[in-house]
Amino acid sequence: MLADDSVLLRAGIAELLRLDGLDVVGEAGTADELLEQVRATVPDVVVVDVRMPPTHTVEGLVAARRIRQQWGSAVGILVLSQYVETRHAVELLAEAPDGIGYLLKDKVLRPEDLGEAVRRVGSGGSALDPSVVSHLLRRRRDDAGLTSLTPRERDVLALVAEGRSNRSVAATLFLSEKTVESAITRIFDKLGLGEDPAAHRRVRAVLTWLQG
Amino acid sequence: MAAVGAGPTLDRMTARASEATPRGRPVPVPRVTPSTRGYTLAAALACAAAVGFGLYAEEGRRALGRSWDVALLDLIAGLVFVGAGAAVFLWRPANRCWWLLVASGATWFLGTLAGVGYDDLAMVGFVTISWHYYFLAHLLLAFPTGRLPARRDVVLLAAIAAVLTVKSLVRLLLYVPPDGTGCQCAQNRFTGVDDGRWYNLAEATFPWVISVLFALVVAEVVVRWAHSSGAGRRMLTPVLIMSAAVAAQIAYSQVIRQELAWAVVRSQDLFVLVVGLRAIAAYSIVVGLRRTGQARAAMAGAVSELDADPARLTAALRSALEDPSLEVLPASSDAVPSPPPGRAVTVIEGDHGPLAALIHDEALLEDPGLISAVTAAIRLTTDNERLRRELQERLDELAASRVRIITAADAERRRIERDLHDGTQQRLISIALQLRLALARAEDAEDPNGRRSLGLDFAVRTAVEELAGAVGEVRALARGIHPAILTDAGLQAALESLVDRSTLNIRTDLDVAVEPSAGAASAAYFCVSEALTNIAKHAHASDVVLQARGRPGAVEITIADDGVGGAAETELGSGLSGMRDRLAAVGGSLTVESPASGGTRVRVVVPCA
Repeated sequence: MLADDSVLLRAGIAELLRLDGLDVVGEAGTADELLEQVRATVPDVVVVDVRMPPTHTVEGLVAARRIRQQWGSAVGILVLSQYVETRHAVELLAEAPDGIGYLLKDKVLRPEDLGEAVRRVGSGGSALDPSVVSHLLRRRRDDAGLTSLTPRERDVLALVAEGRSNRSVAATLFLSEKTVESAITRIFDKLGLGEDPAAHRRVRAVLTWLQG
Repeated sequence: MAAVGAGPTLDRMTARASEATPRGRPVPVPRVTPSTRGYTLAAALACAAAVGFGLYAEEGRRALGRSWDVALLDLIAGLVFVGAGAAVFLWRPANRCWWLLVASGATWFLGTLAGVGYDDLAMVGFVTISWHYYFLAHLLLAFPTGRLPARRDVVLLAAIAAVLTVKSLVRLLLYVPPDGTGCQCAQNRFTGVDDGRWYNLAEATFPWVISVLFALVVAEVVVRWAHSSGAGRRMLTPVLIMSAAVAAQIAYSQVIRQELAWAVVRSQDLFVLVVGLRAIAAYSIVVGLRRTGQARAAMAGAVSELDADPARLTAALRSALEDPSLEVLPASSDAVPSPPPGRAVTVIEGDHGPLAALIHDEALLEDPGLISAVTAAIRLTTDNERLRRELQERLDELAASRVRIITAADAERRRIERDLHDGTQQRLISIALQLRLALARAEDAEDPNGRRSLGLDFAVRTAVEELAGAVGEVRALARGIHPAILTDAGLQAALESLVDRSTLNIRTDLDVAVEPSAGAASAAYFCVSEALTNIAKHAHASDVVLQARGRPGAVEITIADDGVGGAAETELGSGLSGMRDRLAAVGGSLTVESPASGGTRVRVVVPCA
């Protein structure tokens, strides 16, 4: 399910997702249309633009919140934004990051990243834009736990916060999954977070810690 | 009485008058300064007068066999009036009383001529001996303006003049010398009769007539006094008492003593009494006129206290004019009310028709200068009030137009930001996306020659990267024009976002309790942004604190750093001074403290509902 007020862009994203092997079950131009279609088809994932008519402010966020209220984590939500606001992202993921994503709209130019984010959100995971993560990390830059991390460990932490799986982290950093796993254990130790095997739960732990 | 008749009376009198100050705080009294030429003339006249009066006194003493003290008293009796006239002329030259005083004093001396040994000269004195009564009556009736306020006054004076003329003519034409009634002349070459019957009859009648006429003068002054209030009465009281005393003296010396031969006072003592009365009369007149001077001075004081408040204007005029029942009517009422008895209406004319109407004590009309001072004061007040109103209107309009301009500019910035995000940025992403798709389709298509496909692949990827860069730039541009977060989530969120993006290490303490208006929030946001940029550029600070506090009616934001300080406001960049204007337009303010000892503190205050 795809919601964006720009027809051309919507068509382009839809085609990209189809090329990536995903099924686009519906398209909407406004928040109201989106809610109507979600009610009709109950899709696995909704990709929604933040700014939509009529006011072009945060209609997408409002719609996302309503979908979450009504269908819970059954419908994954990936919010696309022209600009990144940490506040919006934090508000969106604060309650439960399961099946929620918040990405900069530019990500559609990297179809593989977009596709992966949709899949992750669809399977109950999270997808947080790296720029949001870096803002969050900078907020806590003076934290003793964070300064005790090695640069490599910090990279791993950022990718974990984005919602990536161990395999994805490993692939991105050209490491073995085993190395990533042990890095995550060390990070959780240093930050004083109890180790949690479930991938999406550890995202929540990291995000909660980052928000202080 | 003897103490009053002394020579220095005039000096003492003027000295006391100039010491007098109006009630309350001292007010500068407008003073007429005679020119140097005036002083020279006065000195020459004084010399001539001194010589003349010396000769006069000596002649009177020798011819009439007067003792020196009587001659001196006689001199004083005339000179106090001349001196009083000179004093009035010096500081109230516009007031006509001065010449009446001088004339009354000068005519006093004519009678003495009757005693000189030369026939014609003695006749002149003998004939004109009573004319000083005329000037005294004129003076009492014309006080304090010098003009005769009523027609009956003119009639009364004409009657006095007629009686005196008859007396003079009778003496000139019907007097047969010598008969021992006063003229020291051997013969009267103007007379055509042989016996003094008619002359004696006229001489016997005159005292009665002149006494009655003076009683009428006193009655007229009493009537005027009764119709006056406050200021008018105060001014008239000394003159009233004096005129009554003078009339009584005339009646006594002319009728009771001479005609009825009922003398309780010795001739010598009566003369001392007369001289004393005249001195006190002259003094009363000067003091009375001085009082109107004081009223004017009080008026000048009142003018300085005037403002646009009509109640205060009325109060100031009432106290300055000592007329507690004075009313100021607005000019709009076309029909000027007819005043009750004893009251007068003065319409104050402005440049564009009447400004106001005053209902006041009739007595105030006796000093036209006072009324013109009031008129000027009211004109000034009205003009002042009008100018102030106009100025305020213009200022309000200016402030409103500034707010409109800033609001319009803000709206325009928001529109541009929206256009950039929803138009340009979307479109660029869309183009990049289409390129991607075109590439994907080309890859899918059968292509026997792989090399061309590789070239196409590179070109498209480069184009997409370029477009991604352009999208990023547009995003930064849009944020610089107007941060969307400000509209989406308010000032506090926007400030947090600013801190997130800053390269500085900023500690925050934000509590924007009430959201300011869009314009104020945007002005505050860009101020903080500018301040943070300046810190990053110039301050070399290690610690920056951003604090925002919502107070009732305002949000106060402080940006403090521990950097080098000493930043003059001009060096803070045109950005911040532009911000100051923008803040001022929305009713906010900006203060910068940057001591040379280090540290800079920027304080931004914006109003909120």
